[in-house]
Amino acid sequence: MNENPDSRSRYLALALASRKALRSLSDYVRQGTIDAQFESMVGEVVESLKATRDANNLFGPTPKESPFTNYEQVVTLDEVESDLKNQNIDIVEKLSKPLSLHVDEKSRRLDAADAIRFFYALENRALHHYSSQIGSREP
Amino acid sequence: MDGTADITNDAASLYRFVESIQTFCELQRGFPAYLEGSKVFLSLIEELSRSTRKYATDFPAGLPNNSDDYRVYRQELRTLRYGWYYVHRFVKPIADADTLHLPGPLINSMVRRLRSVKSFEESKLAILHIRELNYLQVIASGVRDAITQISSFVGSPASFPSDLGLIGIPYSQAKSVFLNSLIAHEIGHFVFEKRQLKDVLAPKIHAILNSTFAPVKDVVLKISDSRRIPTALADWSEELFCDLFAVRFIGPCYSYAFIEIFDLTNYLSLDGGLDKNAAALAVEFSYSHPAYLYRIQKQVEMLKSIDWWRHIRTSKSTCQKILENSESLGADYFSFPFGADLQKYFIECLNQVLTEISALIEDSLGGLDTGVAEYSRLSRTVKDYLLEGVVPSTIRDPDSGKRTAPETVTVLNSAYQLYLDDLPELIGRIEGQKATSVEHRARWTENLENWTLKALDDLTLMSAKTVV
Repeated sequence: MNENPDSRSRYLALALASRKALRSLSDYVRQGTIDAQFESMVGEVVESLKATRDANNLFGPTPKESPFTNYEQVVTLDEVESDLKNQNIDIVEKLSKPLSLHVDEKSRRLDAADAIRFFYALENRALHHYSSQIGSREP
Repeated sequence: MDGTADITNDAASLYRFVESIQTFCELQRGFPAYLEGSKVFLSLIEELSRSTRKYATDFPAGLPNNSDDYRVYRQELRTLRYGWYYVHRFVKPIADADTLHLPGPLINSMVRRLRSVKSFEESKLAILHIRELNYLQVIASGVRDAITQISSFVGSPASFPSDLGLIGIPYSQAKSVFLNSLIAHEIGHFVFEKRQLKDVLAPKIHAILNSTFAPVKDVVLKISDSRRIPTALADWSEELFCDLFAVRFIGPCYSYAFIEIFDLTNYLSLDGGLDKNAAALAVEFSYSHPAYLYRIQKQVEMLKSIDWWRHIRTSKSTCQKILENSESLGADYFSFPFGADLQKYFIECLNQVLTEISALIEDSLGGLDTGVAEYSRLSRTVKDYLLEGVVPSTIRDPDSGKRTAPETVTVLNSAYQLYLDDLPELIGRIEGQKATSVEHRARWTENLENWTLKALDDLTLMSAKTVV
């Protein structure tokens, strides 16, 4: 995966976007607020994951400015999705449902748990791929 | 373990790291001097550093007391650290690239030209020095996203200006004019990013791929390839956009510099034809870049479509021979990293994408004059001045007889053409100098570049929009 000089910045963009989502989820759990940027970001993730499954789409998502659409990012999304699937979590299904406006923090925490797990794992894996490239030798 | 103590140490580590970067951003009064864009960038990083250190100072106080929340909270520090690792790559190279170590007049001339385009009136460039002798693989667009996100996490008031572009040039090429024509490609990346052309092209690339490959979808497409192909095609498209943008923006001098930096004249045989064995790798696409000779072939098409070709086709230079030879290469000559059986489908996709790219370039430049007409009228005179060792800041128009200041495109291309075709004539006028001497050629090329740079500097001073 190292051939493209853009790879590093794409992994970092994925990690940063995941962190942004985690911040929004933290605000949701603590304050019950849901920001529009988070909803838009989740929509991009779902769209990207669905595109890779769509039998009528030969190629999966096409790269856009979104940090979930380039090859390195799509592969990383797939890796995390598979991990969660092994834990019986269908993340596309979970993310496709909007967060509910529960009044108590405990319910909100429960509602957001899988999304937090997903974005945490995504950030972690993207950072790992990014750091692997830092350690690689230059010619 | 005492989580607070450990995390304080981790936060302090980030604090120190960021502080060490900040020392390179502190602009001394007056010296060294920087381009406007570089100053903006360094000030931005200084502000970002301040906010990050404040963030790191406050970080331990927010430590959650349950393990799930802790690991999510803690990882933010790692993300920020890696974000700063990325920013780190750019700071010292920009601090090193002060105006004494840059071809300032050339950069200012290009910025001046860019600023004449609608929506780019306020454009600024920050220049960084890179170690590699290669302009074409500097990826600076990611830094905008990284800085923007870091700013939002640490609560920095600083934001990355939308009219600021980052461009890398090899640290050793401060005096070079001809090779630095490649900067136009990097300006293409800036334009591509600012106009968000990736989003514009995405639905077109999606439609083109699906329709072109539909007949073979179940036969030859591997899953691993099908994931990679959209990104590869999108990356090729951006590179082609930047190449063709550069040709449209400053003319054939970009193609000459492209040929020179990759030493593509190595692929010529003694009879001036293309040595196809030597050039075997130059027709291969990589995952991220189109093949060299494909890129040249498309530049020739652009040179023809904007009427440059007839002004350069009589050149006897090896650069011109590469242009001509690449033109005659058949589409089946190029290969792709996805298997030979898909070759014709990629060519078909690229043909369709190139139509879109050409339209986007024209749309981006909003009718900017190609400069061909003025070149046609004044290039002979500019060359005559240079052959006499006279800086062509103002010349006598051969038609009107009045004094006139030639535009950047005319000066650059006339000088480059002289370098390629008429350097022996220039050297022949100097006593004791021989065109057959490598040393003498190198010296007079440097002189020619200095005169060109001086002319561009004068033109910038004479213009209403001085950039530095």
